[in-house]
Amino acid sequence: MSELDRLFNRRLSRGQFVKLGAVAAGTSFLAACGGSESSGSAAGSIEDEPGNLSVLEWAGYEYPAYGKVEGAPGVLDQYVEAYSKPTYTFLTSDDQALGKARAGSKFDLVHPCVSYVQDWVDLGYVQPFDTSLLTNFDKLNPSLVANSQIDGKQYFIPVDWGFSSVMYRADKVEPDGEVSWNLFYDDRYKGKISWWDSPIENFLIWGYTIGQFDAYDWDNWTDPVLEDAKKFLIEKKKLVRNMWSSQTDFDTDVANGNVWIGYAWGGSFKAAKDAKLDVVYADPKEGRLSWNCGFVLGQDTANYHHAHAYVDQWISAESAGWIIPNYYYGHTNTEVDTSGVDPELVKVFKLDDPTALDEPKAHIERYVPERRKFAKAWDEVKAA
Amino acid sequence: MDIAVSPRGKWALRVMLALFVGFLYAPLLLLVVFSFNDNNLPVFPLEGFTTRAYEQFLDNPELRNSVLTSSKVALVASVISIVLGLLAAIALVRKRFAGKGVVSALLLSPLVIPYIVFAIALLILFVQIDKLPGIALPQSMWTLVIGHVVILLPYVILVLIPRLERIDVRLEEAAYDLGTSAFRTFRSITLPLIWPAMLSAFLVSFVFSFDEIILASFVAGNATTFPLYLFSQLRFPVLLPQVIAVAVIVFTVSMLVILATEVGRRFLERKLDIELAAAPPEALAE
Amino acid sequence: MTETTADTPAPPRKGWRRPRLGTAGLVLPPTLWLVVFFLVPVGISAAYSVGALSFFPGEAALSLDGWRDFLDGSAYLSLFWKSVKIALIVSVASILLAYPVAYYIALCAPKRKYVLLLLIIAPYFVSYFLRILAMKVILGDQGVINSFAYWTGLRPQDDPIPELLYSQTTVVITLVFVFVPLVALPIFVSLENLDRRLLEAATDLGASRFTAFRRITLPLSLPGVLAAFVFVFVPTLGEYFTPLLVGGTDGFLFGNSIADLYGASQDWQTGSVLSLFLLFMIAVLMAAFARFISLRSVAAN
Repeated sequence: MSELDRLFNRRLSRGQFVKLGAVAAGTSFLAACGGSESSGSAAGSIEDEPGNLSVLEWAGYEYPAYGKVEGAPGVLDQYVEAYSKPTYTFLTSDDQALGKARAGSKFDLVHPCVSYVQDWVDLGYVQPFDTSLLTNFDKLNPSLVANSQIDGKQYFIPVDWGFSSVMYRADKVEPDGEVSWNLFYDDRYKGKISWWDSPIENFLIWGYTIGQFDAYDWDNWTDPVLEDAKKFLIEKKKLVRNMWSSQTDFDTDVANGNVWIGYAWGGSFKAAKDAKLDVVYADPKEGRLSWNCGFVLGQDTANYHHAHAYVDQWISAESAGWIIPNYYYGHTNTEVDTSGVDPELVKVFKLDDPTALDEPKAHIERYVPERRKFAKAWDEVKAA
Repeated sequence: MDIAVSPRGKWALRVMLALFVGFLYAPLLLLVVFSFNDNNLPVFPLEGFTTRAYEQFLDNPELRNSVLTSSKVALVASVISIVLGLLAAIALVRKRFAGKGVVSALLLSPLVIPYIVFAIALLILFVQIDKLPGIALPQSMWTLVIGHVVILLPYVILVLIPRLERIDVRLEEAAYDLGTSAFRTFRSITLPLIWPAMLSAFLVSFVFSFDEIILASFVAGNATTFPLYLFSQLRFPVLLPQVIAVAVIVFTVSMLVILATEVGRRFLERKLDIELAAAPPEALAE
Repeated sequence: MTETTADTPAPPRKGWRRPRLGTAGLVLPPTLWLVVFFLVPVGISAAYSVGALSFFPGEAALSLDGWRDFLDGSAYLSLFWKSVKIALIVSVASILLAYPVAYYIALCAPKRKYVLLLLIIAPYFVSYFLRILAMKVILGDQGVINSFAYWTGLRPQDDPIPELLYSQTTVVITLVFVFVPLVALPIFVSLENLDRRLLEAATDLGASRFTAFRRITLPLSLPGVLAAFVFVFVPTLGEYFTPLLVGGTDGFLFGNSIADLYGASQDWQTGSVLSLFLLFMIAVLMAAFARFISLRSVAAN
């Protein structure tokens, strides 16, 4: 018998089990010695730094896609020309970004949303910004700035804000009465619906529609209620064609005609319009969800000044002027001039209405103390 | 009369083979067609012919970087795998030792592990090591190399073992009897006979590692390999033609490499064996 | 250097006079590599699954709750069986497709045997990701197949075949497409090793071709078929990337759950439980097959 035959005729399991057991026991003791992390420093000047800025960013927000202007320098060109192009890793949701960070990935800058800042601080992953290094800082919306401080320290620089809502094809979809988040659960459109793959928002939507309560009041989320929500979502999952992770995946599906109804940010509305589709960015009767995202600074960053310079470009009036017509988002820089913006757009996204983000018109994101509870439930919804 | 199959059966099987090859290659050939199509979406009917997608992609520095990264990873991983695989193959074929069964099972086990489980386990290992005081092990292309060696090793071993078995052990023994050191024996006797197989194993490993995406998405850290880059570009519908164009190039090149390798290897091995059979004393008397 | 005087080499000996160190030097490096970078990670996963280690600092507490929750009729367990079902369909389909082709190449095409075999097998080694991408491009609602259907009038515009993309069907088709080259190889090997004289003897004794196939070829090729089954069943069971790209919600599989648990959900304990359960089931399967294969080849001889 050749060696090969000998190899394949062995029982492959026994030896491995014994080995596995021994190794598992051994390594549990070894690896249980944890370690602490070193911290970065703010001293020094920009020339001393390596300059290889690494950013954990949403897809579409990276250079050169972000701030791109046909035939003219883009918003971020000034930074890139002065220093160098940052390297980007893409996140698909705040939870996933946190997971990546916990798993040991190190970044100089991350672009999370404000309800997660506490999580980042608790993780010990971030340090406060030095706002004196940000020339555009004093032009930012004061209430959003105040909202992003923890213990009085500016851990978070708010940059973009906007809505999350139901987007649907007006030529294919006929809402049942007043437009509602219920469209996500509409049996008539089986296979044409797309939810965002993120736990909190999907449960919030259930809470506002089926649960008929203030979904952001965490007292409402008792275990039986969560169980009900889970069962309902599992049932309605059959209608969902695809859960999208990256906005651009969703945009592609919409452009291809694979989905007609979906959870969308303003950017998807723009993309659909660019694809010449007849879409509506709804104002559901339960109110839209809204968010405010921005930057946090890595604790261990070696590119302290570069990071500040990069963020400074992002919060400039130029950046604000770009993001509104290109993404249909708002920007925290109050010096931006919205007069040149398409009035239709201003209406749909309430860009001239400072109260647009308030209850009950919209439900601004906020910190979730029991995040893992929702994450666990959502995993079970997906697995079922 | 053919005892294996009737004439009608033979034709049926030929049709089956043709359909099979068609099923296997048609989607990729379609990609080739659409890479020259003058339309962002790969849909029928076909619009004009254009090489625009290829031109755009060749002018892309990020793409070039990702190809470079993938090549570096593939090169290092393949070299390490060949070395380790050679050691393992020699040990398994020529030596006797206790626990041989367990060792061979261990060495081949990556063949039957779903890569997602391995990728994540490896990620956990690196995270755990990174947490130990005084040690920093960030994920990078080197952690990816480590992972790739593990999954390449079984393939290398499976290619080298048959070839090693066919090399007459008496040749090596005779050299030993004459007082040649183990290393010299290997260099003068075994290596000349086994190098086509080693080269073949190397090239197959290289191609496999170059295209590998699952481990790359978990343990490569911020390093972007070529498939990861393609994956990240899928998000942009307008870039889809370019992605397809590059996919076509990579596939074609890899196919040619594999085909050339295998055909070349068989040819070379046959030649070596013929030479050896024709003049054994000369081969031994170095 | 003395020249050899004999024309034929000395007769082979049983044990060699190689020093022990030589063997260790050969065996240790590859074995150590695999132990450190393969077994140890699995061991650490096991530690996570029982809470000996925890993702969240200071929360390590040895407990079997993770395992208990999983085995107690959880959604993940049914997801596992769903993945088993898909893996079975893919494996059986691949074998049924590959067997006739391997049969033809091994037994009916002596001259171009290896070239044909190479042609069949090469795609597997060349591109996993690209072939999934090809499928994604082809099967979408406005992909190649559907647009071809509209263009030729087979289906009305705006009425695509929905099952083609983002469904379990898509996952099955794509996985068969990916794995069928690999499946052909072991079947080919076992058919090639078939002693044709057995078939000749059978036909001399009056058996029809089909009977000869059924009672000689098929049983003797069974080890190859079983090996092929393992080569496609096991990886498919843990498939992650294909369902991610083309599976949608319907085609969500066990591997995707594992990935999500380690990623966005940061639930390393449950993720490890699922990983280890998968490994355990694979080990059980391999043990069963190993016994079956060796008994079979003994019986066949």
